Amino acid sequence: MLKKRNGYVLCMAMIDARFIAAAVFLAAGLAACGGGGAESSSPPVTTHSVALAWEPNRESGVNRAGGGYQVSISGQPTIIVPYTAGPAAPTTTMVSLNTGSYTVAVRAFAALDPQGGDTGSLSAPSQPLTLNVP
Amino acid sequence: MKALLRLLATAALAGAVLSLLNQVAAVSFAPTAETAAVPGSYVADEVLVKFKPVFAAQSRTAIVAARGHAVLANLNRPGWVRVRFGAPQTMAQALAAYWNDPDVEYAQPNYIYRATAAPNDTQYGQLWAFKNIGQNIGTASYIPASGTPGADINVEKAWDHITDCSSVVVAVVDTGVNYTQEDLAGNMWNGGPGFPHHGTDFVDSDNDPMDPNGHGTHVAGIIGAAGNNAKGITGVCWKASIMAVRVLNAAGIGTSASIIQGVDFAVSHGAKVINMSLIRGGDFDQAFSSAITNAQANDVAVVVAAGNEANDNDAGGTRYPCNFTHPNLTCIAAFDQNYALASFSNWGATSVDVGAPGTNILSTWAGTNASIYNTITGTSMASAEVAGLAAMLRAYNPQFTFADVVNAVTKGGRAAASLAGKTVSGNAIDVMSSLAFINPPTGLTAAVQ
Repeated sequence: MLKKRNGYVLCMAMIDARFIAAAVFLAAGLAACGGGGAESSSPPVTTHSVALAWEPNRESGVNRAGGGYQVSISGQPTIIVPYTAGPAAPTTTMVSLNTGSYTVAVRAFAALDPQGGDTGSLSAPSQPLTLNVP
Repeated sequence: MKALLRLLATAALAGAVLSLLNQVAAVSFAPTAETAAVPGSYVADEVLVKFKPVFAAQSRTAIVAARGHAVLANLNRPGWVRVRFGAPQTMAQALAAYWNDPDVEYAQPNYIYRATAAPNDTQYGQLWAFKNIGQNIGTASYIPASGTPGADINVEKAWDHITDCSSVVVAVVDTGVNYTQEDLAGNMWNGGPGFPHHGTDFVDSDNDPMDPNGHGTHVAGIIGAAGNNAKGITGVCWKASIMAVRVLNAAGIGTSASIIQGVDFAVSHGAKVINMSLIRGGDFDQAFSSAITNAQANDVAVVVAAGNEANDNDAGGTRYPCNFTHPNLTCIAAFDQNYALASFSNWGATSVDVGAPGTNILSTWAGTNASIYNTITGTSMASAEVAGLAAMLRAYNPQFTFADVVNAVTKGGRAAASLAGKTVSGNAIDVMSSLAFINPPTGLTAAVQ
Protein backbone atom coordinates (compact mmCIF):
# COMPACT_ATOMS: atom_id res chain seq x y z
CA MET A 1 0.00 0.00 0.00
CA LEU A 2 2.89 2.26 0.79
CA LYS A 3 4.41 1.51 -2.59
CA LYS A 4 1.11 2.29 -4.21
CA ARG A 5 0.96 5.63 -2.45
CA ASN A 6 4.52 6.48 -3.44
CA GLY A 7 3.77 5.58 -7.00
CA TYR A 8 0.73 7.80 -7.03
CA VAL A 9 2.74 10.75 -5.81
CA LEU A 10 5.34 10.14 -8.50
CA CYS A 11 2.70 10.07 -11.20
CA MET A 12 1.20 13.32 -9.99
CA ALA A 13 4.61 14.91 -10.03
CA MET A 14 5.07 13.72 -13.57
CA ILE A 15 1.76 15.18 -14.67
CA ASP A 16 2.47 18.48 -12.96
CA ALA A 17 5.91 18.77 -14.45
CA ARG A 18 4.78 17.99 -17.95
CA PHE A 19 1.53 19.80 -17.76
CA ILE A 20 1.30 20.47 -21.45
CA ALA A 21 2.20 16.95 -22.54
CA ALA A 22 -0.16 15.17 -24.90
CA ALA A 23 -3.16 13.22 -23.63
CA VAL A 24 -1.46 9.95 -24.38
CA PHE A 25 1.12 10.84 -21.82
CA LEU A 26 -1.60 11.26 -19.22
CA ALA A 27 -3.05 7.91 -20.13
CA ALA A 28 0.35 6.31 -19.61
CA GLY A 29 0.56 7.99 -16.22
CA LEU A 30 -2.82 6.64 -15.20
CA ALA A 31 -1.84 3.16 -16.23
CA ALA A 32 1.37 3.38 -14.26
CA CYS A 33 -0.63 4.30 -11.20
CA GLY A 34 -2.72 1.18 -11.56
CA GLY A 35 -5.85 3.17 -12.23
CA GLY A 36 -8.93 0.93 -12.16
CA GLY A 37 -7.08 -2.21 -11.09
CA ALA A 38 -7.35 -4.14 -7.82
CA GLU A 39 -4.89 -2.54 -5.43
CA SER A 40 -3.76 -5.74 -3.80
CA SER A 41 -2.53 -7.28 -7.10
CA SER A 42 -0.97 -4.21 -8.71
CA PRO A 43 2.77 -4.34 -9.35
CA PRO A 44 4.94 -1.76 -7.63
CA VAL A 45 4.98 1.56 -9.41
CA THR A 46 8.51 2.50 -10.31
CA THR A 47 8.21 5.35 -12.72
CA HIS A 48 10.92 8.01 -12.58
CA SER A 49 11.43 11.30 -14.28
CA VAL A 50 14.70 11.39 -16.18
CA ALA A 51 16.40 14.57 -17.34
CA LEU A 52 18.31 14.19 -20.61
CA ALA A 53 20.77 16.82 -21.76
CA TRP A 54 23.39 17.15 -24.49
CA GLU A 55 25.74 19.72 -25.98
CA PRO A 56 24.26 22.09 -28.56
CA ASN A 57 25.09 21.53 -32.21
CA ARG A 58 26.74 24.42 -34.02
CA GLU A 59 25.03 24.00 -37.40
CA SER A 60 22.77 26.96 -38.08
CA GLY A 61 20.10 24.72 -39.57
CA VAL A 62 19.71 22.82 -36.31
CA ASN A 63 19.13 26.07 -34.44
CA ARG A 64 16.46 27.60 -36.62
CA ALA A 65 12.95 26.77 -37.80
CA GLY A 66 12.79 23.22 -39.11
CA GLY A 67 15.72 22.13 -36.95
CA GLY A 68 16.12 20.45 -33.60
CA TYR A 69 16.87 17.10 -32.07
CA GLN A 70 15.42 13.63 -32.08
CA VAL A 71 15.85 11.53 -28.95
CA SER A 72 15.68 7.76 -29.26
CA ILE A 73 15.16 5.60 -26.18
CA SER A 74 15.02 1.86 -26.62
CA GLY A 75 11.44 0.60 -26.37
CA GLN A 76 9.99 4.11 -26.26
CA PRO A 77 8.48 6.44 -28.85
CA THR A 78 10.95 8.83 -30.43
CA ILE A 79 10.90 12.26 -28.81
CA ILE A 80 11.20 15.33 -31.02
CA VAL A 81 12.79 18.39 -29.46
CA PRO A 82 12.24 21.06 -32.09
CA TYR A 83 13.67 24.53 -32.38
CA THR A 84 10.99 26.95 -31.25
CA ALA A 85 12.52 30.38 -30.71
CA GLY A 86 15.66 32.19 -29.66
CA PRO A 87 19.25 31.56 -30.62
CA ALA A 88 19.28 27.77 -30.33
CA ALA A 89 17.17 24.64 -30.21
CA PRO A 90 16.60 23.19 -26.72
CA THR A 91 19.18 20.67 -25.56
CA THR A 92 17.25 19.13 -22.68
CA THR A 93 14.13 17.07 -22.30
CA MET A 94 12.36 15.24 -19.51
CA VAL A 95 11.06 11.71 -19.91
CA SER A 96 9.17 9.38 -17.61
CA LEU A 97 10.57 5.86 -17.54
CA ASN A 98 9.84 2.70 -15.61
CA THR A 99 12.47 0.57 -13.97
CA GLY A 100 14.78 -0.97 -16.49
CA SER A 101 17.79 -0.51 -18.69
CA TYR A 102 17.58 1.75 -21.72
CA THR A 103 19.82 2.83 -24.53
CA VAL A 104 19.54 6.51 -25.33
CA ALA A 105 20.91 8.40 -28.34
CA VAL A 106 20.30 11.81 -29.86
CA ARG A 107 20.38 12.93 -33.48
CA ALA A 108 20.23 16.48 -34.77
CA PHE A 109 18.13 17.47 -37.75
CA ALA A 110 17.73 20.48 -40.02
CA ALA A 111 15.49 21.50 -42.87
CA LEU A 112 18.27 21.71 -45.45
CA ASP A 113 19.03 18.47 -47.27
CA PRO A 114 22.01 17.34 -49.36
CA GLN A 115 19.96 17.57 -52.56
CA GLY A 116 19.35 21.25 -51.95
CA GLY A 117 15.68 20.91 -51.10
CA ASP A 118 13.99 21.31 -47.76
CA THR A 119 13.08 17.74 -46.98
CA GLY A 120 15.72 17.81 -44.31
CA SER A 121 18.78 15.99 -43.11
CA LEU A 122 19.49 13.99 -40.00
CA SER A 123 22.83 13.53 -38.27
CA ALA A 124 24.33 10.25 -37.26
CA PRO A 125 23.38 9.30 -33.69
CA SER A 126 25.36 10.51 -30.73
CA GLN A 127 27.41 8.05 -28.75
CA PRO A 128 24.74 5.84 -27.14
CA LEU A 129 24.17 6.15 -23.41
CA THR A 130 23.12 3.21 -21.26
CA LEU A 131 20.59 4.35 -18.70
CA ASN A 132 19.55 2.26 -15.70
CA VAL A 133 16.34 3.40 -14.02
CA PRO A 134 16.03 1.95 -10.47
CA MET B 1 -11.18 5.84 -3.44
CA LYS B 2 -9.50 9.13 -2.65
CA ALA B 3 -6.75 8.18 -5.00
CA LEU B 4 -9.24 7.51 -7.77
CA LEU B 5 -10.96 10.85 -7.18
CA ARG B 6 -7.66 12.68 -7.33
CA LEU B 7 -6.84 10.96 -10.57
CA LEU B 8 -10.17 11.92 -12.07
CA ALA B 9 -9.71 15.50 -10.94
CA THR B 10 -6.26 15.60 -12.44
CA ALA B 11 -7.51 14.11 -15.68
CA ALA B 12 -10.24 16.71 -15.88
CA LEU B 13 -7.77 19.51 -15.27
CA ALA B 14 -5.37 18.16 -17.83
CA GLY B 15 -8.21 17.84 -20.31
CA ALA B 16 -9.14 21.44 -19.76
CA VAL B 17 -5.57 22.51 -20.34
CA LEU B 18 -5.33 20.46 -23.52
CA SER B 19 -8.59 21.96 -24.72
CA LEU B 20 -7.20 25.41 -24.09
CA LEU B 21 -4.01 24.53 -25.90
CA ASN B 22 -6.03 23.33 -28.83
CA GLN B 23 -7.80 26.65 -29.02
CA VAL B 24 -4.48 28.45 -28.91
CA ALA B 25 -3.17 26.17 -31.62
CA ALA B 26 -6.18 26.89 -33.80
CA VAL B 27 -5.47 30.58 -33.55
CA SER B 28 -1.77 30.07 -34.23
CA PHE B 29 -2.44 28.13 -37.40
CA ALA B 30 -5.06 30.46 -38.82
CA PRO B 31 -4.26 31.36 -42.45
CA THR B 32 -2.54 34.68 -42.80
CA ALA B 33 -1.36 36.76 -45.70
CA GLU B 34 2.14 35.58 -44.92
CA THR B 35 1.21 31.97 -45.58
CA ALA B 36 -0.65 32.63 -48.82
CA ALA B 37 0.88 30.94 -51.84
CA VAL B 38 0.86 31.94 -55.47
CA PRO B 39 -1.03 29.46 -57.68
CA GLY B 40 1.35 27.78 -60.07
CA SER B 41 4.14 27.81 -57.52
CA TYR B 42 2.85 24.64 -55.90
CA VAL B 43 1.32 21.27 -56.80
CA ALA B 44 -2.36 22.11 -57.23
CA ASP B 45 -3.92 19.25 -55.30
CA GLU B 46 -1.30 18.44 -52.69
CA VAL B 47 -0.29 19.72 -49.27
CA LEU B 48 2.47 18.80 -46.86
CA VAL B 49 1.24 18.23 -43.33
CA LYS B 50 3.21 17.84 -40.13
CA PHE B 51 1.38 15.93 -37.44
CA LYS B 52 2.20 16.17 -33.78
CA PRO B 53 4.80 13.63 -32.68
CA VAL B 54 2.29 11.48 -30.78
CA PHE B 55 0.70 10.25 -34.01
CA ALA B 56 2.20 7.18 -35.63
CA ALA B 57 2.01 6.59 -39.38
CA GLN B 58 -1.22 4.59 -39.19
CA SER B 59 -2.92 7.29 -37.13
CA ARG B 60 -1.82 9.99 -39.57
CA THR B 61 -3.19 7.98 -42.48
CA ALA B 62 -6.50 7.49 -40.68
CA ILE B 63 -6.85 11.19 -39.86
CA VAL B 64 -6.14 12.13 -43.47
CA ALA B 65 -8.53 9.49 -44.81
CA ALA B 66 -11.29 10.79 -42.56
CA ARG B 67 -11.13 14.03 -44.50
CA GLY B 68 -11.45 12.18 -47.79
CA HIS B 69 -7.79 12.83 -48.56
CA ALA B 70 -4.96 10.37 -49.22
CA VAL B 71 -1.44 10.08 -47.87
CA LEU B 72 0.86 9.88 -50.88
CA ALA B 73 4.06 9.49 -48.88
CA ASN B 74 5.58 9.75 -45.45
CA LEU B 75 8.42 12.22 -45.84
CA ASN B 76 11.80 11.51 -44.39
CA ARG B 77 11.08 14.02 -41.63
CA PRO B 78 9.40 13.27 -38.30
CA GLY B 79 5.63 13.68 -38.60
CA TRP B 80 5.56 15.02 -42.17
CA VAL B 81 3.29 13.49 -44.80
CA ARG B 82 2.47 14.41 -48.39
CA VAL B 83 -1.28 14.52 -48.87
CA ARG B 84 -3.47 14.64 -51.97
CA PHE B 85 -6.79 16.42 -51.32
CA GLY B 86 -8.22 16.79 -54.84
CA ALA B 87 -11.34 18.50 -56.16
CA PRO B 88 -13.67 20.05 -55.16
CA GLN B 89 -11.55 21.49 -52.35
CA THR B 90 -9.28 24.41 -53.05
CA MET B 91 -5.79 24.80 -51.70
CA ALA B 92 -7.00 27.44 -49.26
CA GLN B 93 -9.74 25.17 -47.96
CA ALA B 94 -7.42 22.22 -47.56
CA LEU B 95 -4.83 24.28 -45.74
CA ALA B 96 -7.43 25.86 -43.48
CA ALA B 97 -8.75 22.42 -42.57
CA TYR B 98 -5.33 21.25 -41.46
CA TRP B 99 -4.35 24.53 -39.85
CA ASN B 100 -7.41 24.23 -37.61
CA ASP B 101 -6.82 20.58 -36.80
CA PRO B 102 -5.44 20.24 -33.27
CA ASP B 103 -3.58 17.10 -34.33
CA VAL B 104 -1.51 19.09 -36.81
CA GLU B 105 1.53 21.24 -36.13
CA TYR B 106 1.92 22.69 -39.61
CA ALA B 107 0.54 22.54 -43.13
CA GLN B 108 1.81 24.10 -46.31
CA PRO B 109 1.55 23.79 -50.08
CA ASN B 110 3.88 21.37 -51.84
CA TYR B 111 5.92 24.11 -53.48
CA ILE B 112 7.50 23.65 -56.89
CA TYR B 113 11.20 24.35 -57.20
CA ARG B 114 13.01 24.77 -60.47
CA ALA B 115 16.58 24.40 -61.57
CA THR B 116 18.75 27.03 -60.02
CA ALA B 117 19.51 29.97 -62.24
CA ALA B 118 23.20 30.12 -62.98
CA PRO B 119 25.00 33.38 -62.32
CA ASN B 120 25.22 35.73 -65.28
CA ASP B 121 29.00 35.90 -65.41
CA THR B 122 29.94 35.94 -69.06
CA GLN B 123 32.35 32.98 -68.97
CA TYR B 124 30.37 30.89 -66.48
CA GLY B 125 29.79 28.23 -69.12
CA GLN B 126 33.50 27.38 -69.02
CA LEU B 127 33.48 26.67 -65.28
CA TRP B 128 32.99 22.93 -65.51
CA ALA B 129 34.01 22.52 -61.87
CA PHE B 130 30.86 24.35 -60.84
CA LYS B 131 28.55 23.01 -63.53
CA ASN B 132 29.82 20.11 -65.59
CA ILE B 133 27.55 19.57 -68.57
CA GLY B 134 30.23 17.83 -70.60
CA GLN B 135 31.25 21.12 -72.17
CA ASN B 136 34.52 21.45 -74.05
CA ILE B 137 36.95 23.89 -72.44
CA GLY B 138 38.25 25.99 -75.31
CA THR B 139 41.43 27.10 -73.57
CA ALA B 140 42.28 23.67 -72.14
CA SER B 141 45.85 22.53 -71.68
CA TYR B 142 44.97 19.19 -70.08
CA ILE B 143 43.37 16.31 -71.92
CA PRO B 144 40.53 15.42 -71.64
CA ALA B 145 39.11 18.86 -72.28
CA SER B 146 35.53 17.69 -71.82
CA GLY B 147 34.01 15.27 -69.38
CA THR B 148 31.06 13.76 -67.61
CA PRO B 149 27.95 15.80 -66.86
CA GLY B 150 27.44 16.06 -63.13
CA ALA B 151 31.10 15.46 -62.26
CA ASP B 152 31.39 18.79 -60.48
CA ILE B 153 31.30 20.20 -56.96
CA ASN B 154 27.49 20.62 -56.85
CA VAL B 155 27.67 24.26 -55.89
CA GLU B 156 24.65 25.66 -57.74
CA LYS B 157 22.19 24.19 -55.22
CA ALA B 158 24.20 25.65 -52.38
CA TRP B 159 23.93 29.09 -53.99
CA ASP B 160 20.20 28.94 -53.29
CA HIS B 161 21.14 29.20 -49.63
CA ILE B 162 24.31 31.26 -49.47
CA THR B 163 26.52 33.19 -51.87
CA ASP B 164 28.00 35.76 -49.50
CA CYS B 165 31.02 34.56 -47.54
CA SER B 166 32.37 38.03 -46.81
CA SER B 167 31.95 37.56 -43.06
CA VAL B 168 34.87 35.12 -43.19
CA VAL B 169 38.35 36.37 -44.08
CA VAL B 170 40.20 33.99 -46.39
CA ALA B 171 43.95 34.44 -46.64
CA VAL B 172 45.58 33.52 -49.94
CA VAL B 173 49.19 32.82 -48.92
CA ASP B 174 50.75 32.73 -52.36
CA THR B 175 52.34 34.92 -55.07
CA GLY B 176 50.10 37.85 -54.16
CA VAL B 177 46.76 38.83 -55.64
CA ASN B 178 45.90 41.16 -58.50
CA TYR B 179 43.55 43.19 -56.36
CA THR B 180 42.59 45.48 -59.27
CA GLN B 181 41.22 42.64 -61.40
CA GLU B 182 37.58 43.36 -62.20
CA ASP B 183 36.21 40.23 -60.50
CA LEU B 184 38.37 40.63 -57.39
CA ALA B 185 38.52 44.34 -56.66
CA GLY B 186 35.24 44.35 -54.74
CA ASN B 187 35.91 41.15 -52.85
CA MET B 188 39.24 41.98 -51.22
CA TRP B 189 39.86 42.16 -47.49
CA ASN B 190 39.47 45.55 -45.87
CA GLY B 191 42.35 45.74 -43.46
CA GLY B 192 41.97 49.41 -42.67
CA PRO B 193 44.41 52.26 -43.38
CA GLY B 194 47.45 50.18 -42.50
CA PHE B 195 46.77 47.78 -45.36
CA PRO B 196 45.54 49.86 -48.31
CA HIS B 197 46.32 47.03 -50.74
CA HIS B 198 44.28 44.38 -48.94
CA GLY B 199 47.16 42.44 -47.48
CA THR B 200 50.92 42.40 -47.15
CA ASP B 201 54.09 41.27 -48.89
CA PHE B 202 56.78 39.22 -47.16
CA VAL B 203 58.86 38.94 -50.35
CA ASP B 204 59.53 42.63 -50.82
CA SER B 205 58.76 43.48 -47.19
CA ASP B 206 56.11 46.08 -47.90
CA ASN B 207 52.36 46.30 -47.75
CA ASP B 208 51.69 45.84 -51.46
CA PRO B 209 50.94 42.21 -52.32
CA MET B 210 50.31 42.82 -56.03
CA ASP B 211 50.79 39.55 -57.91
CA PRO B 212 53.43 39.57 -60.68
CA ASN B 213 52.97 35.86 -61.34
CA GLY B 214 49.26 35.08 -61.67
CA HIS B 215 49.09 31.94 -59.53
CA GLY B 216 47.81 33.63 -56.37
CA THR B 217 45.32 35.67 -58.38
CA HIS B 218 44.01 32.51 -60.00
CA VAL B 219 43.57 30.88 -56.61
CA ALA B 220 41.83 33.98 -55.24
CA GLY B 221 39.35 34.01 -58.13
CA ILE B 222 38.37 30.40 -57.56
CA ILE B 223 37.66 31.18 -53.93
CA GLY B 224 35.86 34.45 -54.35
CA ALA B 225 35.62 36.11 -57.76
CA ALA B 226 32.53 38.31 -57.74
CA GLY B 227 29.51 36.32 -58.86
CA ASN B 228 26.51 37.34 -60.90
CA ASN B 229 28.07 40.66 -61.90
CA ALA B 230 27.87 40.04 -65.66
CA LYS B 231 31.67 39.88 -65.88
CA GLY B 232 34.11 37.04 -66.37
CA ILE B 233 33.72 34.28 -63.84
CA THR B 234 32.44 33.59 -60.35
CA GLY B 235 34.14 32.05 -57.36
CA VAL B 236 32.73 29.44 -55.02
CA CYS B 237 31.69 32.50 -53.01
CA TRP B 238 30.06 35.35 -54.94
CA LYS B 239 31.03 37.79 -52.24
CA ALA B 240 34.21 37.29 -50.26
CA SER B 241 36.85 38.90 -48.12
CA ILE B 242 40.19 37.87 -49.63
CA MET B 243 43.37 38.75 -47.77
CA ALA B 244 46.38 38.84 -50.08
CA VAL B 245 49.53 37.53 -48.38
CA ARG B 246 52.51 37.43 -50.70
CA VAL B 247 55.12 34.86 -49.69
CA LEU B 248 56.21 33.50 -53.10
CA ASN B 249 58.20 35.58 -55.58
CA ALA B 250 57.51 36.28 -59.23
CA ALA B 251 58.83 32.82 -60.11
CA GLY B 252 56.50 31.23 -57.55
CA ILE B 253 59.26 30.40 -55.06
CA GLY B 254 59.36 31.16 -51.34
CA THR B 255 61.05 30.14 -48.12
CA SER B 256 60.02 28.73 -44.77
CA ALA B 257 60.67 32.15 -43.26
CA SER B 258 58.39 34.09 -45.60
CA ILE B 259 55.63 31.48 -45.50
CA ILE B 260 55.65 31.35 -41.69
CA GLN B 261 55.44 35.12 -41.58
CA GLY B 262 52.54 34.95 -43.96
CA VAL B 263 50.64 32.38 -41.94
CA ASP B 264 51.23 34.28 -38.72
CA PHE B 265 50.05 37.52 -40.34
CA ALA B 266 46.89 35.88 -41.58
CA VAL B 267 46.13 34.39 -38.18
CA SER B 268 46.81 37.58 -36.25
CA HIS B 269 44.73 39.69 -38.64
CA GLY B 270 41.57 37.66 -38.44
CA ALA B 271 41.69 35.13 -41.24
CA LYS B 272 39.61 32.04 -40.44
CA VAL B 273 40.56 30.14 -43.60
CA ILE B 274 44.05 30.00 -45.10
CA ASN B 275 44.75 28.59 -48.56
CA MET B 276 48.29 27.48 -49.36
CA SER B 277 48.63 26.09 -52.83
CA LEU B 278 52.34 25.41 -52.43
CA ILE B 279 54.50 22.36 -51.83
CA ARG B 280 57.98 21.15 -50.98
CA GLY B 281 59.35 17.62 -50.85
CA GLY B 282 61.82 16.51 -48.23
CA ASP B 283 62.46 16.84 -44.52
CA PHE B 284 59.94 17.83 -41.90
CA ASP B 285 59.76 21.61 -41.50
CA GLN B 286 59.43 22.26 -37.77
CA ALA B 287 59.05 26.02 -38.06
CA PHE B 288 56.30 25.73 -40.66
CA SER B 289 54.60 23.07 -38.53
CA SER B 290 54.63 25.45 -35.57
CA ALA B 291 52.89 28.10 -37.64
CA ILE B 292 50.12 25.63 -38.49
CA THR B 293 49.86 24.76 -34.81
CA ASN B 294 49.42 28.44 -34.04
CA ALA B 295 46.67 28.62 -36.64
CA GLN B 296 45.01 25.63 -34.99
CA ALA B 297 45.17 27.33 -31.60
CA ASN B 298 43.38 30.29 -33.16
CA ASP B 299 40.68 28.14 -34.75
CA VAL B 300 41.88 28.70 -38.30
CA ALA B 301 41.19 26.10 -41.00
CA VAL B 302 44.14 25.56 -43.34
CA VAL B 303 43.65 24.12 -46.83
CA VAL B 304 46.67 22.96 -48.86
CA ALA B 305 47.44 21.32 -52.20
CA ALA B 306 48.68 17.73 -52.49
CA GLY B 307 51.21 18.60 -55.20
CA ASN B 308 51.59 17.98 -58.93
CA GLU B 309 54.21 15.22 -59.27
CA ALA B 310 51.99 12.13 -59.48
CA ASN B 311 53.54 11.14 -56.17
CA ASP B 312 52.24 8.95 -53.39
CA ASN B 313 52.76 11.32 -50.48
CA ASP B 314 52.55 8.41 -48.05
CA ALA B 315 55.10 6.05 -49.57
CA GLY B 316 56.82 8.03 -52.31
CA GLY B 317 58.26 10.81 -50.23
CA THR B 318 56.64 13.34 -47.96
CA ARG B 319 55.36 16.66 -49.24
CA TYR B 320 54.84 19.63 -46.95
CA PRO B 321 52.56 21.19 -45.88
CA CYS B 322 50.35 18.35 -47.15
CA ASN B 323 51.94 15.75 -44.90
CA PHE B 324 51.54 17.75 -41.72
CA THR B 325 49.09 15.94 -39.48
CA HIS B 326 47.42 18.91 -37.81
CA PRO B 327 43.67 18.43 -37.40
CA ASN B 328 42.98 21.89 -38.85
CA LEU B 329 44.81 21.07 -42.09
CA THR B 330 43.08 19.55 -45.11
CA CYS B 331 45.12 18.37 -48.11
CA ILE B 332 43.52 18.22 -51.54
CA ALA B 333 44.10 16.06 -54.64
CA ALA B 334 42.91 17.04 -58.12
CA PHE B 335 40.50 15.19 -60.38
CA ASP B 336 39.65 15.85 -63.98
CA GLN B 337 36.45 16.48 -65.90
CA ASN B 338 35.52 12.80 -65.61
CA TYR B 339 36.05 12.54 -61.84
CA ALA B 340 39.28 10.61 -62.51
CA LEU B 341 42.35 11.42 -60.45
CA ALA B 342 44.34 13.86 -62.59
CA SER B 343 47.45 12.32 -64.08
CA PHE B 344 49.73 14.80 -62.31
CA SER B 345 47.98 14.82 -58.93
CA ASN B 346 49.75 13.56 -55.84
CA TRP B 347 47.74 11.30 -53.59
CA GLY B 348 48.03 9.59 -50.20
CA ALA B 349 45.68 7.24 -48.43
CA THR B 350 46.64 8.74 -45.07
CA SER B 351 47.91 12.20 -45.99
CA VAL B 352 45.55 13.51 -48.69
CA ASP B 353 42.01 14.10 -47.47
CA VAL B 354 39.67 14.72 -50.41
CA GLY B 355 39.65 15.50 -54.12
CA ALA B 356 38.37 18.50 -56.07
CA PRO B 357 38.44 19.64 -59.71
CA GLY B 358 41.94 20.66 -60.79
CA THR B 359 42.19 20.54 -64.58
CA ASN B 360 41.44 23.28 -67.09
CA ILE B 361 40.24 25.73 -64.49
CA LEU B 362 39.42 29.23 -65.68
CA SER B 363 39.99 32.04 -63.20
CA THR B 364 41.30 35.55 -62.69
CA TRP B 365 44.91 36.39 -63.60
CA ALA B 366 47.71 38.90 -63.14
CA GLY B 367 48.31 41.88 -65.42
CA THR B 368 47.39 45.47 -65.98
CA ASN B 369 44.29 44.55 -67.97
CA ALA B 370 41.52 44.40 -65.40
CA SER B 371 39.64 41.88 -67.51
CA ILE B 372 42.39 39.28 -67.66
CA TYR B 373 41.63 35.59 -67.08
CA ASN B 374 43.55 32.37 -67.64
CA THR B 375 42.97 28.63 -67.70
CA ILE B 376 45.48 26.53 -65.78
CA THR B 377 45.72 23.11 -64.16
CA GLY B 378 46.95 21.79 -60.81
CA THR B 379 46.15 20.73 -57.27
CA SER B 380 46.48 24.43 -56.42
CA MET B 381 43.13 24.97 -58.09
CA ALA B 382 41.56 22.04 -56.26
CA SER B 383 42.81 23.44 -52.96
CA ALA B 384 41.26 26.82 -53.72
CA GLU B 385 37.86 25.27 -54.34
CA VAL B 386 37.99 23.67 -50.90
CA ALA B 387 39.11 26.95 -49.33
CA GLY B 388 36.06 28.58 -50.89
CA LEU B 389 33.89 25.83 -49.49
CA ALA B 390 35.45 26.27 -46.05
CA ALA B 391 34.66 29.99 -46.15
CA MET B 392 31.09 29.26 -47.21
CA LEU B 393 30.65 26.76 -44.36
CA ARG B 394 31.91 29.23 -41.78
CA ALA B 395 29.77 32.02 -43.19
CA TYR B 396 26.65 29.84 -43.14
CA ASN B 397 27.43 28.44 -39.69
CA PRO B 398 29.03 31.25 -37.71
CA GLN B 399 29.58 29.02 -34.69
CA PHE B 400 31.61 26.46 -36.63
CA THR B 401 35.06 25.53 -35.39
CA PHE B 402 37.84 24.38 -37.68
CA ALA B 403 36.93 20.81 -36.73
CA ASP B 404 33.36 21.34 -37.88
CA VAL B 405 34.66 22.69 -41.18
CA VAL B 406 36.98 19.74 -41.72
CA ASN B 407 34.21 17.28 -40.87
CA ALA B 408 31.73 18.90 -43.22
CA VAL B 409 34.25 19.06 -46.07
CA THR B 410 35.47 15.51 -45.78
CA LYS B 411 32.38 13.65 -44.58
CA GLY B 412 29.96 15.72 -46.61
CA GLY B 413 31.70 14.80 -49.84
CA ARG B 414 30.64 12.40 -52.57
CA ALA B 415 32.32 9.01 -52.92
CA ALA B 416 34.51 8.90 -56.00
CA ALA B 417 35.90 5.59 -57.20
CA SER B 418 39.09 7.19 -58.46
CA LEU B 419 39.85 8.58 -55.00
CA ALA B 420 39.19 5.36 -53.06
CA GLY B 421 42.46 4.21 -51.52
CA LYS B 422 44.12 7.37 -52.80
CA THR B 423 42.73 9.71 -50.16
CA VAL B 424 41.65 9.45 -46.53
CA SER B 425 37.97 9.92 -47.28
CA GLY B 426 37.71 8.58 -50.82
CA ASN B 427 35.47 11.54 -51.45
CA ALA B 428 35.24 14.37 -53.92
CA ILE B 429 33.95 17.58 -52.42
CA ASP B 430 30.23 18.31 -52.74
CA VAL B 431 29.35 21.80 -51.65
CA MET B 432 25.63 21.22 -51.15
CA SER B 433 26.16 18.03 -49.18
CA SER B 434 28.74 19.71 -46.99
CA LEU B 435 26.39 22.61 -46.35
CA ALA B 436 23.69 20.17 -45.23
CA PHE B 437 26.04 17.97 -43.20
CA ILE B 438 25.20 17.73 -39.49
CA ASN B 439 27.61 16.49 -36.88
CA PRO B 440 26.20 13.97 -34.39
CA PRO B 441 25.35 15.55 -31.03
CA THR B 442 27.83 15.07 -28.20
CA GLY B 443 27.86 15.13 -24.41
CA LEU B 444 24.64 13.22 -23.80
CA THR B 445 23.87 12.82 -20.09
CA ALA B 446 20.94 11.49 -18.09
CA ALA B 447 19.87 12.21 -14.53
CA VAL B 448 17.24 10.03 -12.86
CA GLN B 449 15.13 12.13 -10.49
